[in-house]
Amino acid sequence: MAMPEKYRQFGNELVELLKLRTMPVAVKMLEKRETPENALLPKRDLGKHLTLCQAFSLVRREGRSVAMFKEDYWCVWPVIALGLVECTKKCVDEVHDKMFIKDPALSRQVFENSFPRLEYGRYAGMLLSPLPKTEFIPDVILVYANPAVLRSMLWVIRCDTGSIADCTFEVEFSCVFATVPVLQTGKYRATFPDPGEYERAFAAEDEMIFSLPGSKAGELVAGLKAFEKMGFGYRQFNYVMRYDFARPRFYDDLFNMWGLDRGEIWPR
Amino acid sequence: MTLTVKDYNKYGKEMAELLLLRHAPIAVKMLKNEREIPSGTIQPKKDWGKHLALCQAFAVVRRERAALTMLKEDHWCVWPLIAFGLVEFKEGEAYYEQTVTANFVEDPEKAKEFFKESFPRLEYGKYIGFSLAPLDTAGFIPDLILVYLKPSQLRSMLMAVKYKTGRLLECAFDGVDSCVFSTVPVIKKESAYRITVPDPGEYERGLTSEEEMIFSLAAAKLEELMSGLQVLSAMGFGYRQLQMEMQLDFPRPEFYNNLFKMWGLDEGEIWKR
Repeated sequence: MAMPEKYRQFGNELVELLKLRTMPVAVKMLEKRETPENALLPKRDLGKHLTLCQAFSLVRREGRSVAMFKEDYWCVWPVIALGLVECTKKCVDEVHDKMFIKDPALSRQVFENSFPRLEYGRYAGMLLSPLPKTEFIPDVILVYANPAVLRSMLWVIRCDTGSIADCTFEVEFSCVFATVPVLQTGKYRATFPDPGEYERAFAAEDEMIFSLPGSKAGELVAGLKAFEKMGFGYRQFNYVMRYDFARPRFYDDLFNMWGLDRGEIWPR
Repeated sequence: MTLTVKDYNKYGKEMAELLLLRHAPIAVKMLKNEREIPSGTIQPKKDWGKHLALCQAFAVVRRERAALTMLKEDHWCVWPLIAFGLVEFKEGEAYYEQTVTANFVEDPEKAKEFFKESFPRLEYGKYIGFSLAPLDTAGFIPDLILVYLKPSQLRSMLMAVKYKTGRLLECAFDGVDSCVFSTVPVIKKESAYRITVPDPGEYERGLTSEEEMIFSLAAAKLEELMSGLQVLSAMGFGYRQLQMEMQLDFPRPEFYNNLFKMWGLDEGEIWKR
C-alpha cells in the first residue's frame, strides 16, 4: 500500500506539473471520531462553523488541516449527502423544493433519485489536508484548476481509458458532487463550483474542481509525466505566433531604407 | 557581491516559486559586438528564416523557454530598432516626420514633441543587439530582467521594492511601445524598476494575455528584490500567503435553520434574500 509520503510526493508533483495556484486537497472519510493533533476542528477551535466549500478553501489556500464532524457544518447539503444526519420524510419535505427546480414534484424526484448520498451513520466525519502535507492516505483528492489545467488532467484519463471522465454536470451542491460520487463509484469527476462556493468560499470564476479517487493519484501523475515527455504537458502548450506578419506601410518603407527585409502591408 | 550566472539562475527559479509565475522571467543581455553573443542562442533570421517583433521574442523566451539573440536583421518592428539605436533615425531625414507622427498622438506637433522628449532611445551604434533567455537557465549575466505577471503578483513585487528601499516606485505609463518602455529606461539607468502595460501589438501578435503586465528591473537590483520577496514571505506576507478572509457563520435560508434545529445543530441568522 502506498504510504502518506508517496501521496505528499504526488501532491508536490501535481503542483509542479500543473502550476497549480492552490494546493490539491486530500480527503479522508472517518468512520470514528478520530482527530489528528494538528487538525482544526472549527466549532471547538474557532467557535465557528464552516460550510464544506469553506473548509476546502482553508485547506487549499491556507494549507490548514481541517476535521469536519456534524457539529462543524453550516450547510445542510453535505450533512445530508455524507450521511451525517438521517434525512427523514420531514427532512425531504423541507429540502425537496429548495433545489432551484421549477416543478416541486420533479424537484422531489431529482432529490430522491439523483442527489448523491452516503448511507446514514456510516461515517462520523471527514478529514482534510493539503495533499503535499498529508499525513494520511486519502480516499478522494480534489484539484481546483482552470480549464486549461483541467484539460490536461482529462486528457490523461482519455488516454488511459478511451473516454473522458464520466461527468454529469450540476450547478449546485459542488461539495457533494465533487466527493460523494467519487467515493461511490471510484471514478474521476469534474465539477463546477456552485453559487455558494463562489459567494462564501471565494472560488475564482475560472476555477473548476477535478476530483479523483486517492487510489488513482499515481496513475494521474504518471499520465501527466508521460504527456510532458511527449511534449504535450500543460507547461509545454504555447500559443503559436504568426511571424513576418503584415505591417503598416511606413514600417516597410523604413525597413527598406535601413536595408532590412520587407513584407506584406496590412489592410488596416 | 557580484552575482554569478548560477546565482542568477537560482534567483530565477526562486522568483518563479515565490510568485507562482506562469512563465519564466526573461534575462536580457545587451551586446556590444558579435564576440559577446552567447553560444547556443537562436538567431531568428539565420536559424528560422523568420523575423520577430521584440514582443514576440519575449514570448518565445518566456513561454517556450528558448534562448534568442536579436540583431538588427532579426527584427520585424520599427520601434525597437529605433529605440535600441540599431538603426540611424534622425530629424530632418527621410520618413522621420511620417514615423514620429504615426504613434497615436492626435496633434502632429505634440507627436513630434512627445517623440523627442518621451520616447526612450539608446545612442545609435552603441549596441549591435541583445540576447534573451529564461532567467533560470540563461548562460549569461543579464543587464535587465523582465517578469510578466498578474496585478496580484505585481503587488508583491511592489511590496518588496518598497520594503527594501522605503520608496514608492514612480512610473510613467504608455499604452504603446511596451518593448521599448519596459527595457530602454532601465538600460539607461533612468529607472531601476519599471511597470509597463503590454501594448496592442504585443496583445495582437505577441499573444500576451489580457491580465498580464510587465515588471522590469536592472539585473543589479535582483538581489535586493529577491531579498524583499523572501523576507515578506517569511513574515507571512508573501504572494502565496495572502488569502481572502471568509465570513464564517454567515446568514442562511430559513430552512437551513429548521433542519439544523431538527438535527440538534446550531442555529444562526436568517438571510434577507
